[in-house]
Amino acid sequence: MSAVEQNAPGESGLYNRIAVLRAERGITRQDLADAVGVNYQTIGFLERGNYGPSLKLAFAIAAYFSLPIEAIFSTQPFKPLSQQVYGAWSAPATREGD
Amino acid sequence: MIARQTYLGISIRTRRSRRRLVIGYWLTVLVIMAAASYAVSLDPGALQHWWTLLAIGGLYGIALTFLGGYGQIGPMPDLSGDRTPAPRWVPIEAADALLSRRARAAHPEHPASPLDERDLCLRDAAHFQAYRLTREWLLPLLIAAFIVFQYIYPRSQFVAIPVYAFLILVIYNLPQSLILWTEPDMEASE
Repeated sequence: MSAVEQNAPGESGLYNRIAVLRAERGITRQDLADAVGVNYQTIGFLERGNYGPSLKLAFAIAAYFSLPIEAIFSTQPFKPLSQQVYGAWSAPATREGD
Repeated sequence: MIARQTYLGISIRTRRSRRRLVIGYWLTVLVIMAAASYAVSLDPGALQHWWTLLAIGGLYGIALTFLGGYGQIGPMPDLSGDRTPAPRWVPIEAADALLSRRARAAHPEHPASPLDERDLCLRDAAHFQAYRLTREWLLPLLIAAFIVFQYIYPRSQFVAIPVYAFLILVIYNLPQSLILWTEPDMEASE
C-alpha cells in the first residue's frame, strides 16, 4: 500500500496502519479477522478507512499487534514509518511553477 | 456482510449484479401489484375468493425469503444478529467416544461468522434509512396517488388493498434492498 493510500482517512475520518502492519508481519486479513472476531471483509473496510472501529475492536487490534492504540489509529495523517524510525525527512524541493 | 457469491444461480459477487437483483425483484413486485390492482378494480369481489388469499399468502412467503435477512434463505445472512447458529454435538475420535464437543453448525451458504460490529451498524443504518424513505417519500407519494385516483376513478378504493400489500412488502424488504444496493465490493481475503 502506498503512503498516499495509508494516509487516506476514508469515510471514517480515521487514519490507520493496519495494512502496513499486516504486510510487515505477513498476516492475512482472515488471520487478523479471526483473531479479533470480525469478518475478513470488515478488516478490508477498516484498512480502506470506510469503517471506523469501535473502541473495543480498536483495542483488540492494538493488542493483537502488541502496539499502543495510537500507533495504529490516528485522527491525523501518519508520518511515514521510515521518517519516524530514521529521523528528519523533507519532501524533495519542487520546481517553481509546479 | 454479503458472503454468498451466487443466489438462485445468479452471481451476486459484484455490486452491479446485486443491484440488478434488487431492480429485478422490485420490478416483479410492481408488475404483480399493478396486475392485482387492475384485477381488483375489474372485479372487487375477487378479494373474497380463497385463491386470492392464497396468492397473497404465497407472495408474502416469497417476499420474506427472497431477499433474506430474516432467515437463512436469501443472499444475506440472518439480520437478527443475536442468534448464533444452533450448536451441534459433534463426536470426536472414536477412542473418546464418551467425550464430545460443542461446535458451531455453520450454515453451508453462510460460512462467515455471525454479524460482526460493522454488519450490525450496517443493518441498523439500513433500517433507519428505509424508515426515512418510507416516511418521507413513499407514504406521501402513495397517499397523494390514492387521493388523485379516487377523485378521478371512485372505484380505486378497492385498489387500496394491493397498495397496502405493497407497503408491507416495502417494510419487510427495503432494508435488505438498501444493503444489497449500497454494500461496496470487497476483494477476496488474501
